[in-house]
Amino acid sequence: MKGIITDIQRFSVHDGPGIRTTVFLKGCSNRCAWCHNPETFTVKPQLEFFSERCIACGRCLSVCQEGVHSISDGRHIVDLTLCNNCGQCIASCYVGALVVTGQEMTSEEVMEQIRMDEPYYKRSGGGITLSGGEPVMQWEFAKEILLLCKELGIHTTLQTAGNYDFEYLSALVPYLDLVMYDIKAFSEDIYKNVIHGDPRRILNNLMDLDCMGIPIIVRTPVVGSVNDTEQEIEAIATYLGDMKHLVHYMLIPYHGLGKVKYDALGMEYNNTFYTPDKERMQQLERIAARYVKVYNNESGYING
Amino acid sequence: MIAPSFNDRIASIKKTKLEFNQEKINRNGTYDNDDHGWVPFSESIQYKKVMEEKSGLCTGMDAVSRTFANYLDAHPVYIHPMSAFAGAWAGAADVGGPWRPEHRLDDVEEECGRYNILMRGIYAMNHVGGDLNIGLTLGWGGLLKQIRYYREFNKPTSTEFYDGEERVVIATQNWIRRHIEYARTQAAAESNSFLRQNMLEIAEMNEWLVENPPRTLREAMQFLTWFQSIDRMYFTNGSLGQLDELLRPYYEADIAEGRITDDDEVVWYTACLLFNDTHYSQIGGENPADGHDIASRMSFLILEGIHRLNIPSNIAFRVHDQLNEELMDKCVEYLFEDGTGVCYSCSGGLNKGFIRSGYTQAQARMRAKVGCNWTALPGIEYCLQDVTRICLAKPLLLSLDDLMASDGDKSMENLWELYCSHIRRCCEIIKDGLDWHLEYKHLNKPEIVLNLFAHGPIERGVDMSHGGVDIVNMACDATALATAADSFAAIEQFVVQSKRLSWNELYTALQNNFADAQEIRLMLKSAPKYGAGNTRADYWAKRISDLYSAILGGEPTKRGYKVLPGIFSHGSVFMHGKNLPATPNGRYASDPISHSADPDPGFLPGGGTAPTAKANAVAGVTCVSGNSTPLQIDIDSRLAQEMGGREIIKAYIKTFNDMGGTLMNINVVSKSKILEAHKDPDRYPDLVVRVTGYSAFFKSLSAEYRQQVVDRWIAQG
Repeated sequence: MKGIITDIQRFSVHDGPGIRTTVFLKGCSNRCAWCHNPETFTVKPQLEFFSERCIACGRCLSVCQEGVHSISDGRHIVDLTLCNNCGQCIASCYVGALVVTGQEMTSEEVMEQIRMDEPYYKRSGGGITLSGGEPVMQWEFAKEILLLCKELGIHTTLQTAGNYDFEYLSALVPYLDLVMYDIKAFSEDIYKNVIHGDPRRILNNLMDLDCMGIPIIVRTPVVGSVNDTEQEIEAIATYLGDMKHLVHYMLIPYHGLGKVKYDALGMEYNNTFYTPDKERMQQLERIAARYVKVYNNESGYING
Repeated sequence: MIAPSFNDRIASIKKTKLEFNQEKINRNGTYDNDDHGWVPFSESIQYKKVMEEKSGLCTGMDAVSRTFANYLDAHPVYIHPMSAFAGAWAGAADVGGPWRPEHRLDDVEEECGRYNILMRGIYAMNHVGGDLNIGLTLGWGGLLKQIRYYREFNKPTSTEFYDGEERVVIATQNWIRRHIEYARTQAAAESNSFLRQNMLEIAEMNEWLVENPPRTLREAMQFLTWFQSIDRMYFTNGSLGQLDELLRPYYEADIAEGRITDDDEVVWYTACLLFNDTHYSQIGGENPADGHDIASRMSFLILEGIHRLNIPSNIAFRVHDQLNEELMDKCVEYLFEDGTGVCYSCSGGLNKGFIRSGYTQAQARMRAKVGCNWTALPGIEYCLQDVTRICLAKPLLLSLDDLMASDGDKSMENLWELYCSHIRRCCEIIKDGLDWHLEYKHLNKPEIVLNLFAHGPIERGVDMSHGGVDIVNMACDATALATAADSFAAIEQFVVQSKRLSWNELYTALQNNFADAQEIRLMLKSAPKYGAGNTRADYWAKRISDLYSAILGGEPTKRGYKVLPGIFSHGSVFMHGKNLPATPNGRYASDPISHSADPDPGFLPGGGTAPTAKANAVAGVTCVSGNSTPLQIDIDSRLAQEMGGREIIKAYIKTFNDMGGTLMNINVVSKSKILEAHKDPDRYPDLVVRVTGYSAFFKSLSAEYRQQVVDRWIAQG
């Protein structure tokens, strides 16, 4: 089976225990306004243009049949709306200014990459992590990779935001050792205006997943001006308090590193969000800690 | 008066070290070699050079030993008031060279230039580990008695060898005596009671040591201080051996008898030893008999000294299957805290290689990491390492010349055949040179210091380099592996497979250093790189490494000496690139070559890098010989701030060892700090980095050398 991969990141140390390889599957069922990975929104491959790398050699003009590329006043202009993702221009670009985001790969090809670092997984207690976008968008492909990993005894983790029908997630659970589940907000308004996901489905899926007995780490990206309030974090933490298989809860400060990617995809970047400062993060962690075990990447468990 | 704390004493000598470093830069500019411990004395040393009668050169045992004795007699004395020890060295004596005309091998120099062989080992300094147990057991007086005993016992026709060795010991004793006088004078003039007492203790300690073997830990370390000073002065050699095991019996005796009641005192001793010099040594390691780890409390205290002083030092932690977890944990903790510290010498690849080279498992376990990239059997092995290089890229360019000039089929197979013949010739040049070196070395620059600390030379009356010890291993290190592998892969992809380039177009572009051929250069650069895993460049890297290993290590020299292949460029990627024309990986003429066996920065698709991918690549091409193929790695300091970061790095190092790695040199630093320090080195006068096998103040490195470290960070994104 083939799937669409955005990236495969080796020596990944933030996506689960130990040294891991994180496989980013393309496509997402949310549209978080602060997202710094806009290339993961759609499943299909997309052309990206990094203007700062372009040397205006013009080779792409000669191979493109669709008129995507033009040179005006010595500057390379790219009209991505005309692109049919044939990949011809990418092959002609030696400086990496034109790249495709989203590569079609077979599960065997993905496994070849995963297996390169297999000795490190065993030594460190690491493994692989399927991430996105939303990896469950390609659940059949994800299942095949997970199955192949389990046959090799490789630890598996899924990072998900839960905005889909539960049956897709439940199909993956038998092949998973850990789920890292993002709850980005509790208030319906935030979902409606900023996340564009279904809050009831996301929250219910988490509880249904908990009933299946798999260890779960819940994470909330704390985004300044969106969900960095005591009420929001307290509401999430209270909800998590009923879970039986929660390993811990983590608050992750938002970072705004996505502008270059939005530009490369020809997308508008309207970012009015900010990163909460350390003190604010600690305040919110203390509030959450009243209800659940809270883990901080730098200081470890702040309670229990 | 209250004595300053041990930490205050360490801080004081560190302050002096930083001042010395600034003075060195002021005098000589930046320097890219090992920092060493030499002290910038204000006056130059005036001494009489003694010349060998026939050649008029300072060569041979008699002239060399007399000259070195003169140098020691004229050498100034030095005692840092806060140090536990006396002694410092001003720099290497000009002695033992140039070699006599009849012993020079100059007729291959032109061919060496053609092959970009810049270091062929001939005339070079030894790279040998002495057995300091000999000195610690006998003391200077005992060494003298041993020389006299064997001179009498062997009754050689010429006593030149023994006379020379005797001269070296007596000169050392005299130098020590001058320090005793100096210490007493300083004590008499000192009003501070602690400083006065410290000088008196130093004087008394050395009054004993000048004739007798050390009894206490402080005396043992003072002995090592004298040794490493004269060792550096004579030949810039720098090996101490298995330091923790050398010192453990003294430490345990001091503790048992109540002479030491505070381990911080031992930490201070260690810091003072490290202040004196950056001699290479090892902590942790394997018991030769059963492989169990030999780490002791002394290992931890040495590590503590490295950490608290935090200046350039060259101590390795030995990684093996039964390593001491607690000691490794501490090594990584201090690596995260200080950004540097020990390097990680790996038995996984080293032992397997040494056994493959014909030695026993016990010998492999004894072979300690006592040099920049190398290991040696202390006191029983003569070796020459880290001074012999074969460039793997230039033979490819010569092969292309041959291919283009021939009427034969222009193919990868034919290019490879030509390449094999050029590599074979490079190996011949190196081997013949090593034979030559070993034949004549003792007649020019005999091992007057290390002969004293080896098992055999004194007993036999024969120089260590000429039969004094039974085990002799030469070594050679290849350079420019990634440059060559990426070049082969680029030719294969664009000339042979896709045929986007003709052989002529490629050749012309290279001849013109890519002038008016930017597109060709960028095309060649875009080929998947060595290190990414399962690329054609990875295939070529392995094939080149195997070829080089088989030819160099497969056959001994004509005189029967083993030559152990490794891959190591030191930090000299600019020097080795300077005369290298443009290469098919898109590298311009005179640009630096790739570093050791490391993939070039940004080797992953998209231009990134990953520590695991890099380690896999290096382990995959490691020459299995007992020589090393080091990995240089830089870890983001953010990992150090995170829970579990230490365990991840420990697992990473152990996995590299499992895969057959030989040596890992790690820096932990933030990208912003390294960029700021590169821009304005004065802002970080105490920033220490491990450049390759040696560590140095970042500030003391030239802009080119600093750029190496910076490039690795930029590639990491």
